[in-house]
Amino acid sequence: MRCRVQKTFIYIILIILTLIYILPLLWMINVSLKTNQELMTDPFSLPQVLQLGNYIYAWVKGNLGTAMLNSFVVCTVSLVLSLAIGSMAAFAIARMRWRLSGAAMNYFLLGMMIPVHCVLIPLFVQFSKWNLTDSLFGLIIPYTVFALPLVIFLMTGFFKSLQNEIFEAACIDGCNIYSCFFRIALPLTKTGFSVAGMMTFVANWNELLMALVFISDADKKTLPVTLSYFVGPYAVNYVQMFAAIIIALAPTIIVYLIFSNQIVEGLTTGAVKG
Amino acid sequence: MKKKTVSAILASVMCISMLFGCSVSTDTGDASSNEESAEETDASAGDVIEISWIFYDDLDVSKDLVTIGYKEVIDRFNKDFEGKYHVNVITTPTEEYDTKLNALIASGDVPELFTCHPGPLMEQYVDAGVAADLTDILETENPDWYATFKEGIFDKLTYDGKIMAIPTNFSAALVFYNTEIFDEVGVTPPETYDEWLEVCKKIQDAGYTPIACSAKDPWCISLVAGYLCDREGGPDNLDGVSEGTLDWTSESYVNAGEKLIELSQYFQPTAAGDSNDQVNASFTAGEAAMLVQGSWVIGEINGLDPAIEDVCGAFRFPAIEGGADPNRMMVKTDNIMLSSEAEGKEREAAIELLKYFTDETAEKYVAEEAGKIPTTNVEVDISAAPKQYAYIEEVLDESSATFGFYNESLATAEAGDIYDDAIVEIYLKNATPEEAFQELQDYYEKNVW
Repeated sequence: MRCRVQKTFIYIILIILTLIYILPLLWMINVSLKTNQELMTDPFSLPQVLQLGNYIYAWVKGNLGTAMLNSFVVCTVSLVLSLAIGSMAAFAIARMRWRLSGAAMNYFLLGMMIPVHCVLIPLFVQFSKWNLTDSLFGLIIPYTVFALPLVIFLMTGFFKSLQNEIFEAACIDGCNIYSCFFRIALPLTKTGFSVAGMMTFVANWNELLMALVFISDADKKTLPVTLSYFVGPYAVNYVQMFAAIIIALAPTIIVYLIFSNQIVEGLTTGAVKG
Repeated sequence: MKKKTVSAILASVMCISMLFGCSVSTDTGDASSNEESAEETDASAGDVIEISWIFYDDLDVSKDLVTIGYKEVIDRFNKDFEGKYHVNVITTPTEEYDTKLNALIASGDVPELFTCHPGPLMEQYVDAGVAADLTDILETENPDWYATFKEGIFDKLTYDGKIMAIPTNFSAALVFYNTEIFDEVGVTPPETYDEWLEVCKKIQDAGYTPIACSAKDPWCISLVAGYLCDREGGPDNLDGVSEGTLDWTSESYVNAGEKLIELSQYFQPTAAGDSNDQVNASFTAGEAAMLVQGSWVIGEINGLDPAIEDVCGAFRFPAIEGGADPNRMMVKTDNIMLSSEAEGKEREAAIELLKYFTDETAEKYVAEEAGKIPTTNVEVDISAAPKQYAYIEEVLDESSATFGFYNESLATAEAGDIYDDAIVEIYLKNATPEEAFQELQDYYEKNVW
């Protein structure tokens, strides 16, 4: 009896939490199917006529297909590069003994404290000299570099949690340092990769300022830049902007669903004995 | 495990192919973007002079009528000069516009043309030597073009006798009102501030919001405050603080602050949290009787609900008895500056584009479609223009002088921000007018005088 009451109570809390998370999303979908006038006069009512034209307008005028592809390319390449470089640096700091490992870790962590606004214009001036502005590669480099501190920080923790005995056994069996990394450390820290990967991907996917300043060519613009165009100097085009946001949310949700399962799997692997 | 990997890869390939597929359908579905991409391919072959213009609103996505007008100008220019000149438009949302432009200037990659608000923002580009002197281009090289402009339109764009920008349109700030509500309540447009308070009281008693105003977007309430300051002290106010002969805590400013508090009791109760969009929508929906705004709002409210056009009138911002000249109008021009680094053919192309922005077609559009005021002496078909345009012309005809938005007429852009913050603090009653204006006084004492 007590168990039932407890369960009911927990379910009520969970339902309320779910509603808090889901309702704004549902409201956004509702708004994206209205006209601007309907939105202003009655923000929470259902639309009188479903304005599917908002989605077509957002997709066509906003060039969302190209923007999403650009975002996908930039985010994926910077994700792969930052995970590859970051995990190797983290392994060296966590598992290898060398004099400056602590200093190196502090150096990388300092990178987390540098706000983008400080380096934006000097970086732009430098990239301009190297003809890297107005190109996707010119975005991939800063995205990778700004993601490195977080990746290194997270992966160092995961690598440190691995037991020494595994590596000792591997060395006895003839593994060199590279085999230790690729065959032992990497497979055991899949959860770490999922967490770092998800955080890096989502952060880069939503990044606006650098993409706005570095890219001028309309064909190379990323998704957040395109979404910001719906905010005009005097008025905001809410309904079509919300339609664009709903379209833009889909890849983020897919990526999260892929990675979140892996995280849960990783976390629960060691939970049950036998 | 292998099956999962394979299915994940296949799902990603499907998603990517969908994006590619959709890109193709976007191209075929949109005729104008097809034309532009075809022109670009043609333009890249041969000696086509490429210039760029940076602007703070996206030409494809925006529903702002002025932006749509600019898009037509760009399309027309690219079509007429196909094979000779081509303009690439760099668009950035308003908030990040200054950052982007400053980054381009710092890197030496200045666009040939850039849009700029008047006031301290424009002054900083003039002082930095980034903007070209247009005086000779107008007066000597293109006198016919120069003659088309209205008299006095270059006054606020002239620094040390040099004209530094071309105005493409201008708007005046005044009070728009709902004629139906006024008739129902039995009031007429007030001439003086005291009459205005009486009108507001009657409208409030009838159950309507007298004045819709946004304090969340500070420039909206700052517009009202700027008018109150000017009605109190006239041009001496701004001249005095810029020369250091008048304190920000002087009587005219403090009185203006007191009057703002008095007037704000007739704003909607949610003014502190309402944005400019919400306020305009509230006026359009007939919930508020008056809206103190620039004439750029005409395009927006008529677009929100065409029915408002027939019931929307406009009157001059009321006079303050014992104050300054009530026929002074707050105006603002949209301006384009030419880069001082543009030379040779690029400079030629940029000047041609400036002419297109101010030619008869563009200026007629400004009035007849967008409801803003042309900067040239173009003949406007009043019957084709939004109805509110006629009222604005009437008020402008009686105006004796113009002045800029207060937050754009101060010594620096930062001073403008402090001014906006001070006005919001006065409205929210977080500070008295003396305390709020003291912030500006301190800033000016430290940085300007």
